[in-house]
Amino acid sequence: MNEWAALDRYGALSYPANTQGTESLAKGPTLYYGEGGTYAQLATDLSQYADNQTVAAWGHYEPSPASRFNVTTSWTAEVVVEVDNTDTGRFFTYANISLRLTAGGAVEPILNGGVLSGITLPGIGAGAQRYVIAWATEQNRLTTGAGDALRSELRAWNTATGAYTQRVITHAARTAGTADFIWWASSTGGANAFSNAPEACRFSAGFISATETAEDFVALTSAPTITGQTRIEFVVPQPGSDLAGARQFAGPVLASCATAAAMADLRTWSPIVNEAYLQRTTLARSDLAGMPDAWMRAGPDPDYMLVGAYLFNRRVNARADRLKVRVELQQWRLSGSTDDRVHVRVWSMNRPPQPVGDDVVDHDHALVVQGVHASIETSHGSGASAGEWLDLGLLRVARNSRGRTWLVVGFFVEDLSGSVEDNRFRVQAITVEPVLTAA
Amino acid sequence: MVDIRRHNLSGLGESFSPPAIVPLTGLRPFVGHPAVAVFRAQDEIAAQSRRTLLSWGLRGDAEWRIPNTDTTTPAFGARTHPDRSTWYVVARERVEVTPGCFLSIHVACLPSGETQRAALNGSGQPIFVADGVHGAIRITVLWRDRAGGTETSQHVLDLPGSTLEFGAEDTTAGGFWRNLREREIPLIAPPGVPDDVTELARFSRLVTAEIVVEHQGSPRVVDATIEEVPVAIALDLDESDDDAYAVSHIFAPGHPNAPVAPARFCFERWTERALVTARAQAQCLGPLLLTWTAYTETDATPTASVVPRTTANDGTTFESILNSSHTGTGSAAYNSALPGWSVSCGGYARRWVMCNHLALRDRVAVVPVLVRVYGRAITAGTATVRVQTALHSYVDVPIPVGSATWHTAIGYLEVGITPEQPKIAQVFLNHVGASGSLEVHAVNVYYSSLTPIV
Repeated sequence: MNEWAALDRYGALSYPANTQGTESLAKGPTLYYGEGGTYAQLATDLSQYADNQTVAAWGHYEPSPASRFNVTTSWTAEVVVEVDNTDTGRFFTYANISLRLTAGGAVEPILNGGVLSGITLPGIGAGAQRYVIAWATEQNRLTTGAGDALRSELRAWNTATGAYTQRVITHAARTAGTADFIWWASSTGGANAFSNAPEACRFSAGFISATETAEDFVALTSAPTITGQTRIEFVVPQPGSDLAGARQFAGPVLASCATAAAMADLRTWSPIVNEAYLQRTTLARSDLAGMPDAWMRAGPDPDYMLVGAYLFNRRVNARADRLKVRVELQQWRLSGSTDDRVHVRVWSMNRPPQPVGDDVVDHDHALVVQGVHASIETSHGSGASAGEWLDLGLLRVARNSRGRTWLVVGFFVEDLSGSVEDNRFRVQAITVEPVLTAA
Repeated sequence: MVDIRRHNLSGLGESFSPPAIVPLTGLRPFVGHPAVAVFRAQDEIAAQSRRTLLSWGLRGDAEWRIPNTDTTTPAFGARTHPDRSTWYVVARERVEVTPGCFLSIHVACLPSGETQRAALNGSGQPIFVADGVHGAIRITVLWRDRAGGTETSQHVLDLPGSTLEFGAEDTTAGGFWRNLREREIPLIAPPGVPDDVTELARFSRLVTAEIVVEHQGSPRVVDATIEEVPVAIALDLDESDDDAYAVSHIFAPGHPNAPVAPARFCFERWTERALVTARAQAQCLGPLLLTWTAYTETDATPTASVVPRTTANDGTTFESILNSSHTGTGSAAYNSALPGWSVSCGGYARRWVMCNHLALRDRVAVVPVLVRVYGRAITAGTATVRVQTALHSYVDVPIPVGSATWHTAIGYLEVGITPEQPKIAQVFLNHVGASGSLEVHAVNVYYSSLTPIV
């Protein structure tokens, strides 16, 4: 069951949209969202509050008390702006909280009358560039006292160059208080006005991750193709709320707990094999010269050679019916221009192939083998830092009587160049992760 | 009032059936069975864990620490094999253990090699001579409960020895495979656990385990893991201030699927309990995404095991912990085509507030993590270990000057929605300061949304 099915049971998905139902990028915790090339456009509140602001020559603002912005422990301010290295001014100001830009591209938060450590916009220069800037704050789980009660992430993307910088700072909680909420200056008189062009502004009552800001304002990730089951927390009512008390309907609360349980069953599923190697042994040809001869043997497919250095005996979650397998490989030729093709197979077995030691579990059981395959004929060169991830797909699991599997990697070098003598490759990482495909 | 209830979780996790929801929705008579199914299902969630907390072994190496050659050295020669008494650290971990789970170790190995002791030759000159084949693994776990108390457990696993001359491995064709052995310790737990219900309750609330793995003598470990195994859980149901860690409902006596329902059935309390449990499961349970030790068979010597990864780079350069040639300036060092660790399992523990269809549109996921680094900065400078999963997604762990110890940072990492969405973590080192350097022995990253004990 995926999360959509879970939600649909309650009719929670009344629309398939990716917004709160009114405007793109205006979401649940959004207190204000404006976008556009003019202050008049930016002053139109696209959030669910739809509380348009007063337009001024230097920006726009909501007159005091602007109470909905009076958050003290968690918030996120995001702006999209054009900036060069001479620009200055405030991005927003509300009572004792502000975000300012000084010459040279320094962005600094101001809180409770003090200036916090800031960042320098990456790649700032004489020509104006487009930046996405965010200040996200949450309660600090590692706090040692009032002075570091909150944790902030200050971030900036240069959308032209792709450069990114981030700084984490800890600080005290914001002292509550209301005032005018002002975008692009520090007062309704226009003091410290931002000197360049804003494109968007959003203020939210919660911590928004860097990934979410990037998805919203920098670039959208392509949706993945997923065949296995997915999970996401199903939020239940707060314990202690009246909903769980006497004389209340127990059904809705328990129905939410039932859905939460259905969504929690895979929470602890972790990588089965997750190895990235400091020692990247160079292998040559199909006989895998570079490894001791005694460590190798023919695989279930005799074209392939198995290597003991890439042998794993791991427990697999009993309900996992597939394993997602990836191998990071670097290949090159010592001479010539045609690359050979390196085939990689990963097998799941209930035991290693015979002959195998007598105290290996199930050593006398019939061999059960499942395999996946990928190949590569790209030459990455022999440089110290190169390679490519091979996606071997979904591997069925062959378990022994104790629920463990042997995962074995085998290689075969196919001659495409007239000789495999000068082929070289090395394994740099192997990942195997559990997947549940059955409904 | 103390109201400790206990569940045996052994053998669970083979199946899980989500409770039916329709009988709990409107316009249906409310009867007990659908509600009981919810409580029982909640009690099976923690038992789904089989997290691999630590792994070590050959890991792509092409040679053993232990040679197959003669163990008698020339006069004044250097030791070629370890002695048979010194314990050498090969891996370490500090992690919160899934409530109700404790640890087991499983080892796939070849017969252990020869050891050496110091002696004098006929001329009175110092030499090293054979001291018998021997190999053992010691696992020491410091368990920290949420009240600040600690207990230590220590287990030794003796490994089989080679019967060949010089304690050599079998170097004939297929010798590696013919000589594979398996050894295990099925339960590593604090003293008294799981039999003492009070101790079990004490260590059933997301306790921290600090694990140190050591080798003695000349083991040949092909692949070893320390894994979580569901054993038992006990909770004091009246400790309401600790509800954040109460990941089980503890409904039926003795076992989640026990046939006997409680004698007094009070829906008011059990409904509240179901909410507590659901919330705690979302906060406490999640995957272990990455664990790494600097130990390699190639780098280890007869008198040293872990050779920490070091850097003395100075400035904005970030250098991959795997490869000093993989570098970049700041966040630009990240390159998803290059080696790293998969964090795609993270999506199994997505929190609604950060990952719902409004926030990330089901295109990618983000989870709260704890990053732990065992290491130190040496002499001077400012050192950082960075775990990064995207250009804009990383957690920095500041590493101060001092003795090597654990350092911790919190943050958020971009992860896959499931393992089918590739998402690679890379670990980088940075040292700023004209003198001094940084050394790292171990790194681990796991889901965490609560304040750790340490």
